[in-house]
Order: sequence, then structure tokens, then C-alpha cells
Amino acid sequence: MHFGRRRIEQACFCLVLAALCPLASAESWGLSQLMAGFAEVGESRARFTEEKHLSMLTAPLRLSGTLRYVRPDHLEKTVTKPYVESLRVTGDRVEWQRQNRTRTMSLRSQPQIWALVDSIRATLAGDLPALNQHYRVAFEGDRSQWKITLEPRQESLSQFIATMRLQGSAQQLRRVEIVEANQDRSVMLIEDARD
Amino acid sequence: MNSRATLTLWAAIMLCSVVWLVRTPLNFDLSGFLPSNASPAQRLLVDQLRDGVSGRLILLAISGDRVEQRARISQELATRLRESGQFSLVANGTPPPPAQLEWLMQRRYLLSVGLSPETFSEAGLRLALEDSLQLLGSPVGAAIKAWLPRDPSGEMRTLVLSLMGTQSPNTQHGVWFSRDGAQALLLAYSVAPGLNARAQQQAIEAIHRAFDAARSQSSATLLLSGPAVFTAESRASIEQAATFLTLISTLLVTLILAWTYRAWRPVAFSLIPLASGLVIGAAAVGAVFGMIHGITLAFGAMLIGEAIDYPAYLYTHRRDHEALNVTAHRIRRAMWLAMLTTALGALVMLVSDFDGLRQLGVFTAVGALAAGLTTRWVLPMLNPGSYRLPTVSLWWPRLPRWLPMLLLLAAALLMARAEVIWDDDLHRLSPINAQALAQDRALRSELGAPDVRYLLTFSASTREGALALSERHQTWLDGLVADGALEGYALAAQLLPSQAAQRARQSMLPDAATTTRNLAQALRGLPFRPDTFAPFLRDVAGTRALPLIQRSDLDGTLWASRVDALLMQSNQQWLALAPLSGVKVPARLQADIAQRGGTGVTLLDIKGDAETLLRHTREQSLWLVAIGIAVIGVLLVATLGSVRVALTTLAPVLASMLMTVAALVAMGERLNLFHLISLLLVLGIGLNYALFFLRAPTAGDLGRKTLDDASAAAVADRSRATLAVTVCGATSLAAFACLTLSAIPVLHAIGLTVLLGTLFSLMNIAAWRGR
Repeated sequence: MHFGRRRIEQACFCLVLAALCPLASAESWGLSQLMAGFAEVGESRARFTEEKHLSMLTAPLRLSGTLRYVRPDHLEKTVTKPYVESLRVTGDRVEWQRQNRTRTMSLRSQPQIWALVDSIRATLAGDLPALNQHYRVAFEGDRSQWKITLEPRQESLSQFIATMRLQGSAQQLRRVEIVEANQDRSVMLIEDARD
Repeated sequence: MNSRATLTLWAAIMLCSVVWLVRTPLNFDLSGFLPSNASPAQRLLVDQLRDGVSGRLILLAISGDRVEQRARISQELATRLRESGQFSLVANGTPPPPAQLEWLMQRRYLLSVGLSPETFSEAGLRLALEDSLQLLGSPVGAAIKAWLPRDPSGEMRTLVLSLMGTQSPNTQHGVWFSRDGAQALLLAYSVAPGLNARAQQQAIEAIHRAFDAARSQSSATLLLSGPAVFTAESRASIEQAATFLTLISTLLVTLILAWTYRAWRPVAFSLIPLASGLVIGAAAVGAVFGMIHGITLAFGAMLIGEAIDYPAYLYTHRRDHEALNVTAHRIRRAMWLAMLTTALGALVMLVSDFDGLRQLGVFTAVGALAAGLTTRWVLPMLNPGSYRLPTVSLWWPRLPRWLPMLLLLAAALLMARAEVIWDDDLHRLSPINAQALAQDRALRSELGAPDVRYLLTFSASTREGALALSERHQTWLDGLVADGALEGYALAAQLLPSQAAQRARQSMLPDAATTTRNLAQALRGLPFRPDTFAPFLRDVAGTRALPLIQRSDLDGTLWASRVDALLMQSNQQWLALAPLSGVKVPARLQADIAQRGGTGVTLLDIKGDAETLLRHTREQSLWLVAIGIAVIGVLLVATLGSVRVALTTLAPVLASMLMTVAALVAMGERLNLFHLISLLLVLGIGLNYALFFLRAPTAGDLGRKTLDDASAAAVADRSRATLAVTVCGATSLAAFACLTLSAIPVLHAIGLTVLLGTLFSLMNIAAWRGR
């Protein structure tokens, strides 16, 4: 009987804790709240400018175009300047179109594209487990200014990608920086399509 | 001829036959049922069906356990299979090892189809560099960075893409997986010819052994599919089914005979003519063809099952206390007609295009004659002891004559209205069940595996000639791939170009000073670091001094077996093959080839062309059946002495055949060659019933003194004839009902046709029998 009463007391304690939890989380906004917020967005469009700094080049490559995400797994990156090229990803299928030629491939068979697409897509989808599965995820900042740092867990990715940093405020992704294993690096700045 | 001499002669023939049979090789590949007469293109098709690339494909799927385990097993299995030397290609999605890629990289300018002097000019280089700059900014930029300094014009990229195909399956953990991730996928081409069932069986066993070793403790399972697997399985399942069904039907037939005679000797002796027919028939095939197809033996044994009827006619027709040789003499005419009609019906198959069917014709004709002669001359020499026969006349229902008439009318109407009667789908002839075929299609679509259907062949008198001919069509093929008219192709010249082509490409490479100058001009204004392309200059200079690629240079690389599978010598001709995958508009390919006017270039539609051949053979066989019936009709008129009598004998049989076909169509069966061949057996069996039953001896034949005696004897003979047909009908129904239960389409077709045919034959003669 003594044992039984302790059980009941424990259960009551847990119930109280559970009731308090939402209050506690409202106090400290974090990665799960950010992801939950993304999970509510069905479709988003944005414009981007991108700079690629490569060791074999004396000046960075500059590209600009549009990004589009449609829940749950469609991501489009269309380059409009200085030439036209598009990358459409749905699920595992990648469609890459340039110079009137379309190539389709499996996302998983192209680790570099996968890293780029999957990190942004999983973030926009609010899919924290997917991010955690492939990357060590670090979060800093607050609702108005946050930063997620991703480091690949698997050797198949880390041989190409060193780090990815995603920055933004609230439900807006503002900046994606990818540092490759050979220290080549690209920075993509994203602004709302309505601007 | 006295009895001792007869027995000695029979024993001598049997002994010779057995000796001959032992020396006759048994051929287990399936080529016996492929047409053998043909135009060069058809011959090519048959060769390709027999041992072409498409028949060697094996699809592998690993499921169960965790995804990492499946990936690991896939890697290990691929390595083991590659090392076994039994496979010309094993692919599982892993990129070729760096050393193999480097081999290609060093020779890329010799292998590049699109190479021109322009490639190394200032303008050409400028274009390539601008394009490279774009690629660096693209999603694949990171992937090409490593090769770019050596290969600014992207020759290596193009080469690898054309070798690996542009449509890659889903990949996880570096190996191919099904889209749902449940199965790790591989594909392999066996070295052994596709239709060599025994060799394919060995290849499949090697895969299972390698899998067991690769799996070690894992719970993963392996699934195999593809033409090579089907070949091995069809051999196994036909053999199994034939053995099992033969056993069961022999048992049933023995039981029926045992019930009839209630004595062991007539039952045992009944097997003698059948055994004689089998042995002598098979020996005759061996003597004529030099070998026997396993399938001829299996089907022949069934077709010759009619021979079990002959002793039944002899034993059941024996009057009380009559010597058997008197009985044999009395029924000799019907017996001769039974033998001859079967033999003539079977001999018609000799004109067939199928080697296997010709063998079947010889087997059945010789076998039926041997069985009949043994029944006529040998059985009467063996004392069956005394046996009592049951009376079965009462079992026969008195069928009104309008019943078969009505059925016949219905059958004729049905046939006149039927739209689809024939089915020439090759798959329907294969013993593979629909589920396995569906599984095969699913795996194939996941792997983007070549659909084994279209094959371009380039033939010339020399190896270099065949390679050069195929090279002249390579740019056209590349264009088709670029247009999306074709998903991809493989060609030996991709890895082993003709010496002339290699020499021409080598001569396009400029000297070091020219390349350096052109590159410097092309780089002007572009943001590349100045020394980036030093490796390119080194490679161009190196290739100028490189010895041309010979076949022997490929030894020890991944590419050797691939080239050997695509370049071969057959019939004093060299043949370069290009298996095409994902052909969108076959007619366009055909038209293009005609327009390009290449002699020695043939587009084979493996499935379509084979079905056309099959249709021709079937149409021809239909004519043969008609001719067979006409020949039998003439024989009957000649021996029975009257057109009317011959017609009344043949009419119920022809009615049975028509009803059988109508019933098959009504049941939704689409008819193929094997239904047609089975109808010949229906003809033989049905004619025997008509000969022994409808033409049972009349009072005049009996030579009795008084009419009463004569009519009493006639009634007794009639009852014996009824018993004979009852016993024969029962044994046929039992034997072929067993076949009907088989899941193997060919056996099922034969079983159902003969079962229905026997039923209708019995019904028709019951209605026709004299009043």
C-alpha cells in the first residue's frame, strides 16, 4: 500500500509538470518552435542572389534567380542571370534543365545536390528528424535572428561538404552558406519575392 | 512369320534402338521450339534469341534486414560475382574504381565520338571554357571540379555518361535501391548463352552461393528475375511437371486397366507397345536429327500415350476362348487405320519450321507405328492368361442425335462470331507464371534495365569492319538519345573504337605549342587562374604519343567482358551489337535505318519479330492440319471403299474438333500452336473410337451359320467394342485431366484441348452409334 501511494504521488507530479510545459516553452523560443512554424507554410517563393568563391577562379561567380518550395517535397531553383538554368526536385527525382537539355537523376546518387537540396528543403518543410538524421544540428539566436549550423554525419557527404549555415528571422530563410571540404564556398542571399 | 522369328526381330529392333538411344545426346536448351528456316535477318534473330545479350540478363533484388546491411551485401555480392568470371557485367550503382576511371581518362581523346580538330582550336576551347564556367555555378559544379583542369571540353563527362547511361536508378549508401528503399538492386549479364538452360542454372547457383557468402549472419533474402532466370526455371519446371504428371497419369491408367482386366498379365503387357513406341520413336529421332530435344521427349511421351489404347483394343475385342492372333487378325483393318491415321497426322509436322515440332512428328509417327505393329504381331505371342471383361454398355446414355447437331450449330455460330481466336504472345508459351512476369517488369522499371526488345546489329567480314560500320552510326544514335527518342545504347566501339577511328582522332590533336597558344587566347577575359589547365596541356601531348587501344589492352579492366558481349564472330561474320533501351518510336528507327542505307545494319525487334515468326508457323500449321485431314480422308476412302462410309467415320471426329475449339474459345482461352498440335491428337484418338466403335463388325463379317447366332455374336462384339472405347476414353480422360491441372501454360493447353476433344468424341459417337 505504501508503494502504491508513492506511485500516485509521482503520477500527480508528472501531471502538474505536463500542464506547466507549454508555459515553459513559450518562454524560450528555439529550434523546435522554428521548425513547427515552417511546418505550417504550404508554399513559399523567394528571389536569391548567389556568390560562389572557387579556388580555381580569380573572381567569384554571381548568379541570381528564384526559389520555390511546395509542401511536402518539391523545391525549385531557377537561375535567370547570367544564363537560364533550372533545377526541380520532387521527392528523390531531380530534373536539371540547361541549354534546352533536361537531365533527370536520383537525388541520392548526387551527394552534392542532395546536400544543397535536402538541407534547405528539410528546413522549409520543418522536418527536424530528417535534418538530425544526416547532420549534426546546432541552433543559436532567437526568433528575430536565428542561425542553424549543419555538419554532415556521413562520410559520403562530409567528403564534399564541410559546413552549411542557414540564417533567417522568424519564418524567413535569409542566407544559406555552404563551405565545401576543399574550402570552396558559396553564399546565397534570399529575399521575399514580394519585395 | 512364326512366333519365334517375330519375337527375335522385335527384340533385335528394341536392342538396336536402346543402343542408339544411349549414344544420342539429349539437348536441354529451348532452341527446339524456335523456327530454324529463315532469312539472314531471321537467322540473326534466332541466334540472338538463343544466345544474345538480352537473354543473359539477370536482375537481382536484396530485401530484408536493415538498409545498411542491404547496401553492404550488395557491395560484397557485386565484388564476388565480378571475381567469379561467370558474368560479363555486374552493376549495382557503385562508380567504377578510380583506377578504371583513370584508364578511360588517359584514353578519352581516342574514345571520344564528338572529337574534331575544332575541339582544340581557340574558338572551340573558348566555347568549352565558357560552358565549364556555367557548369561550375550549376548543381553539378562540385562534381566536375576535380576533372575540369584536365578536361575542359568535357570529353570524359560525355564518355562516362554514354557508358553508364543517363537514367540512373535511385541510389542509397552508394548502391542502387528501389524507389521505396526496400530492395537493393543489381543487374548482371551471364557469360553463358541465354538459352543454355543448364549453363544459366549454374550461373544462378553461383549467384546464390555468392549471396550466402556475402550475407553471412544477415537475414536478408535474394530475389532473381530476368530472361536467364526464366530459362533455367522453365527447364526445371517443365522437367518436374513432365515427370510428375507422367507418374500420376501412368498410375491412373494402370488402375483403370487393372479394374478392366482384373488380372496382372494383360495390364503389364499393355505397357509393352507403349514402351516399344517410346524407345523406337526416340531412337528414330536420334537417327534422323542426331540429337533429341528434352522437350520433344516430354511432349512426345504424352502424344504417344494413344499407344496405350492399342492393346486395349486387342484385349477387349477377344472373344471367349479365342486365340489372340485370331483377334488381332480380325481387327487388323481398324488397327492399321488407327496406326496410319495417327502416323500421317503426325508426319504433317515434318514440314514445320520448328525443329522441335519436326522431331515430335517423327517421334509420334514412328512411335505409333512401332506400338501398333507390336500390338499386332508381338502381343499375340505373349499369353495374357485368362481374364474376364466387365460389361459397360449400360453405362452409355442413349443420346439423341439432335444433341450433337445442336452443339455443332452452336459451335459454328460461336466460331463465326469470335473475334480473337489466336494468341501469338511469346510469353504465353513460356512456363513462367504471370506473377513472376509482373515482378520482372517492376524490377526492370526500377533499374531502367534495357527492355531486351530492340537490338541493332552491324555485320561485316572483319572485326575492324564491324566496328567501323557501327561507328558510322554512333553520332546518329547519340542524336536520338539527345532527342529523347532513345534512352540509351551500348556499343563495343565506345570502349574499343576501330584502329582507323583512333588514328584519325589522334591526328586531330595539335602539337604542344599550338595547344598552349590556343588555350592562352581562349582564356582571355575569363576568371580562371592562369595555371589551372596545365594538366590539360600535359594530357593532349601525352595522348599524341599513346599506342592505340587493342582488344588485349582491355584485359583486366571492367570493360573487357562488356566489349566481348557486344562484339563477336558468328557464321564467318563479325557482329557488333547495340542493345537499345527505351525506344520510343520503333518505326522512326526503322525508317532512319532505311534512309541511311547501311548494308549490314539490321534492327531486330526481338519480341515482335519472334512473334511474327511464330504467327507464320502457326498459320502454316493450320494448313498442315487441314492437309493432314484431307490425307486421312483419302486414306479412309481408299481402305473403306466408299466415300459415304469414309465421311460418316470422319464426320463425328471433325465435329468433335470444331466443338473443342469453340469450347476453348468460349472458356476465354486464346489458341496457340500447342492447342493446334493437340487437335491432331484429338483427331487421332477420335478416329480410333470411330473406327473401332462405329465400324464394329456386322453380322456378315462373322461367318456364322444362322442369323440368330450371327446377331447374338454381333451383340457380343458390339458390347466388346463399347468396352474398348470406354476403357480407351477413360484412360485418355484421366491422363489429360492431369495435364489440365498443370500451371505451365503449354501443358495446360495440351491437357485441356485433348480432354475436351476426348469428351466430345465420346459424346458424338454415343449419339451416332447404330440403332
